[in-house]
Amino acid sequence: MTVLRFRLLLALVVTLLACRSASAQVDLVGSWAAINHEDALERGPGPYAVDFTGIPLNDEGRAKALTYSASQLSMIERQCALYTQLYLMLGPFGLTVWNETDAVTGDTVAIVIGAWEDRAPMTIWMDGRPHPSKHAPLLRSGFTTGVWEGETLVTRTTHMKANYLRRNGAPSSDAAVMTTHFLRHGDLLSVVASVEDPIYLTEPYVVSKMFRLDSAPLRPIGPPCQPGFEGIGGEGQVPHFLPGQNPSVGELTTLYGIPRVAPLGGAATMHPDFRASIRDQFVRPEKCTRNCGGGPPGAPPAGPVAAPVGR
Amino acid sequence: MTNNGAASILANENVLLRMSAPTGEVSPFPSAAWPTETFETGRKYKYLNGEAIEVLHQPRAHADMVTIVRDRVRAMVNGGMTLAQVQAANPAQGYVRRYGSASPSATRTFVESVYASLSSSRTN
Repeated sequence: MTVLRFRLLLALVVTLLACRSASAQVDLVGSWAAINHEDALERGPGPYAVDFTGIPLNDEGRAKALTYSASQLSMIERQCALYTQLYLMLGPFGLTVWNETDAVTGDTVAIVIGAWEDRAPMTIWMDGRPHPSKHAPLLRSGFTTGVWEGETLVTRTTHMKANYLRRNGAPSSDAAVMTTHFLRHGDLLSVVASVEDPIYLTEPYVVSKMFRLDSAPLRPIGPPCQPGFEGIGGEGQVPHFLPGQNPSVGELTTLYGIPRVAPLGGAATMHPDFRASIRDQFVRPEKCTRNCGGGPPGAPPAGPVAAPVGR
Repeated sequence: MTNNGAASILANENVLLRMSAPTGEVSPFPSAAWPTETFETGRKYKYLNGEAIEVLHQPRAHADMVTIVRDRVRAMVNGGMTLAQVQAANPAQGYVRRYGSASPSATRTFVESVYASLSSSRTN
């Protein structure tokens, strides 16, 4: 083979590989409306104050979670604190996605997911840049890089501030790392995040959410946050519960007969066989009185709860 | 040119007051470390690098961990527990892996300090 033929063959191979790589990627640009058909309670009015079921909390995480009081959100220094990027899955809003491209080459430098009023924008760097030093400042947005694995965008977010895994105070630390998969299926977008946290979790915590492409543009930013006094917080005060004094620990037991061990979370509560392990402790309530399913928030109870645990 | 070409330091006026000292007295921090711009109002507006910046003073900003552990220890002190009992009750649980894992003795020393300060003023 002559040198010329070899170079032509090499150029052909490189071109084919480049075409394959480009064709394996998917366009995520556009407005994606939240479907919210799953975990509606989580994304609407919010979870019960002590419902950490399915979160692999360790003892430290559980202790911190039970300390939490929602009144912390009314502290003037927290009102504009925002959530971390896990709120993409926890919150009720849709996504606005656009590309930042190199003006000369046209290459995608970053994919940006616009902000909400309580979440910073997520800039997914696609140009191969490394993550910052572990000593770099932590950000509400975190620092995110992405790669295409076939038609799936896989991102990794580090440098997030300490925040929450659930809106009831289940904690995430500033050492948490979030891996997120964006999978487009036509007009549907699945976003699946896995959080690893060596401080508060014993296993990765996985949460997902679905979106549908929407022709109506979503605003990529929220209104500016203006903190104001909401009646909470004196000098040196943080609303919290002392150990053993969280009044909501037995709430799910009272409402649904679910044994107390379940809402306290832990890795065991993630797995299907956990239901069998607490079946003998479950006492079906005579009547479901709250969040019974089937109707919008505020609607009359829909009747007895349908097999919540162990059935 | 502000600060001889070095970065400006913007802070609430209280920061300058704490880092400096009246004329004739030795300041606790060298003047090079003092804020170069201060504000005494609740917020300060600036325009930097093409962006509008708003700096808000947070008068009650503080760390959760310090406040919550203090309140836990206070409840135990008011309940008549000894230092050994307080240490055994692990009042820093929830914060140890993040803030105390590198030096377990530091956690014990911190709890001991909180206990000592609260024990000396049981009326808190």
